[in-house]
Amino acid sequence: MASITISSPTGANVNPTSLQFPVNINGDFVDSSLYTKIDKSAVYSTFPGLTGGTKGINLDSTLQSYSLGDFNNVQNNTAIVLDDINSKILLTGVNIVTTGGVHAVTTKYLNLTIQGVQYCLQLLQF
Amino acid sequence: MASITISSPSGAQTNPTDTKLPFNLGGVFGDSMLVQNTSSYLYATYTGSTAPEGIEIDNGTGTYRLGDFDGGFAGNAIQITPDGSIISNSSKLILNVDNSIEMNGLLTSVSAGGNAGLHLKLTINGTKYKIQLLDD
Repeated sequence: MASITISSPTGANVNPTSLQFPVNINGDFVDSSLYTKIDKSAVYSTFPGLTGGTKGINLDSTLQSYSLGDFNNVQNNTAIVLDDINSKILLTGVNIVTTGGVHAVTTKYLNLTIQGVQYCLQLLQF
Repeated sequence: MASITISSPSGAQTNPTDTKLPFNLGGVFGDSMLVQNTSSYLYATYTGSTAPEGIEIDNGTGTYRLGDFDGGFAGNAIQITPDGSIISNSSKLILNVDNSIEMNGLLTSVSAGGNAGLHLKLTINGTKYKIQLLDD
């Protein structure tokens, strides 16, 4: 297959930072928010000024872990993580669950189909 | 907006493999784990494989998936699909076009734990609900 030469009006032919994906900003390749591990086993995102870890998305085929949101608890820790090794779906976030109490039963149910079988989860008033 | 000029053939200044997204690998473009076959189809794969794995964005069919949706490992995935189809008998949470939620995976035994004292909070069609949680 023929190779492709890329040149830009300002002469920048590659984005500045190793292991970052490029993005075309006004004709120049600059660093995007996406990174990759050098062995290409993972892609993850971060943002300018963000400290404490990555955030947004993390796809790691070695760890078989696929995350979306603030999975490193950099800010509010609201995230969903697919833990494929343990076959679990993890939800994080301080406001996802609440402490117990007396909650009136509603007449509504959440319909779920699990392994082909339909179930209903009884919904309580908030 | 200024464009980037691309010409071929010439010296290799792009990543090696057709349809793979480039990334800066020590000053040259290397192949990443991201693949874009068409303008509406983007997915990730893993070393030694060409199968979609990790994330798949298909704006042509309206299918969006995250995780091990091809069942290559344990098959744990989330899938938003227009037809509600299940690809494999693996662990999967599917948000169907008919607004139902479908899940494949292992069920716990009938010996559920006691009241955990916690509730899962859900907002469905704008109304807030709670579901009582039991210990594992």
